[in-house]
Amino acid sequence: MKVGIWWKVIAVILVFYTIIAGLLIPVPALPILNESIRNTFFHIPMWFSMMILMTVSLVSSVRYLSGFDMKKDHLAAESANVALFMGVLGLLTGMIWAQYTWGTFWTNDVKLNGTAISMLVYLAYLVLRNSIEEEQKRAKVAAVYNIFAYVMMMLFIMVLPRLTDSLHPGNGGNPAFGEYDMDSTMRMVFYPAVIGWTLLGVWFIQLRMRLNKIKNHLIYE
Amino acid sequence: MIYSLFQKELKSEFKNKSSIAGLFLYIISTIFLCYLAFNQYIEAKTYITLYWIVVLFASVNSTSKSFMQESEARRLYYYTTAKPSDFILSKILFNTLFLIALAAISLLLFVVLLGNPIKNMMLFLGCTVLGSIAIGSAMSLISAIGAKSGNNPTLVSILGFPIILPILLATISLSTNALDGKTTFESLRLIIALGGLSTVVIALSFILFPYLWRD
Repeated sequence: MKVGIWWKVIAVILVFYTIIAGLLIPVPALPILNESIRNTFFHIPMWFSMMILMTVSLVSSVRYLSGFDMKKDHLAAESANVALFMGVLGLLTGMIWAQYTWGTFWTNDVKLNGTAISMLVYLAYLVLRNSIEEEQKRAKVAAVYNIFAYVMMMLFIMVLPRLTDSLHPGNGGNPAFGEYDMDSTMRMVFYPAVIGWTLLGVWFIQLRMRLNKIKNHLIYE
Repeated sequence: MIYSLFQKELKSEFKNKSSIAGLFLYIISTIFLCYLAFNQYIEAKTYITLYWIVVLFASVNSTSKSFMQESEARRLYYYTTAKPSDFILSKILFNTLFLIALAAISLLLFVVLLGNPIKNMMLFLGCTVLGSIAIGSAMSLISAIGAKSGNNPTLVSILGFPIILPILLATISLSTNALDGKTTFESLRLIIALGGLSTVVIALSFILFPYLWRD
């Protein structure tokens, strides 16, 4: 597998660029958010990359079920792993932000609870994978649960919070981190951040896939 | 085909009298304990929460084993005679109806022992039916997944609880509306959410179960 090194270089440059620029560039002064709006450059890109990697996991699970290729199963599991890691990072940055803006690390809010439940669903997916010994069976059962988990996560994160009011920026009339309140200088950091964190995640997945390959090699030969 | 599979579910459930009796004993003893502990005075919010906790554990206990009791040979027999979609549909149908019966009996006991603070009973009953459909369909698929992983009952709870939690939160807020005497129209959003969730889960079961069906 010949993959160039250029995208790894880009990943590192972009992540460093967002860390430095994210803390230095001027940002619009919005009520409530003020300077904490800089969390846009860290918190949201991590969620974005989590969603992208979860989607990669979903697609590889679907492809496993249509062709029963073991490599797709490994890819699905590893991308779910790394996506969960990104999700934990997103959760932590969000919690630190909440401590300064809301005065508490965690509140009983639909969006926060939906996220916590989705994390539990994916942790259950990892538990399920570890509980089955037989490889083919594990791959099939895990793929089925993964598709189920993804749809449930979409419902819990995307649909249910829209049905009630939420404290979270972008919901219930609060000023948003999202596209509506971002000016063009913020976009110049935000989109590179999304690409940088996603590429970093892909790098993690590649490393873990290689580790898997070596382990399997040691077991079978 | 669905009808005969459903009949088979019904027969095999009632053949095993000890498990069904155990379930009812659980419901009766928990509610009686609540009656003794709260000493006839119970706040409305506590009433609703207790009711759903009792129903939750009864339903997880009854539905989580719905695929596990099938032996390997019997599974092979179903495989040759029935379509997977019919099979999962009959399981969903049976689990849903069973949960509705469980919830109705619990409600009856609650009303008899702890009084009736519910102002809009029709909405509450509707909420119970919707919640039973959502939990029953989700647990059917999860039980099928759990049965494939070496019949480990703890695993079904681990897989099921994160899925059931939001369903239960929605049913609790819907039944709180019923308790406060709000009209059905005012809580239409929650009803649509619960209905939509069940529809998605049933559709997913339809698509995904054929893959679990075959070893």
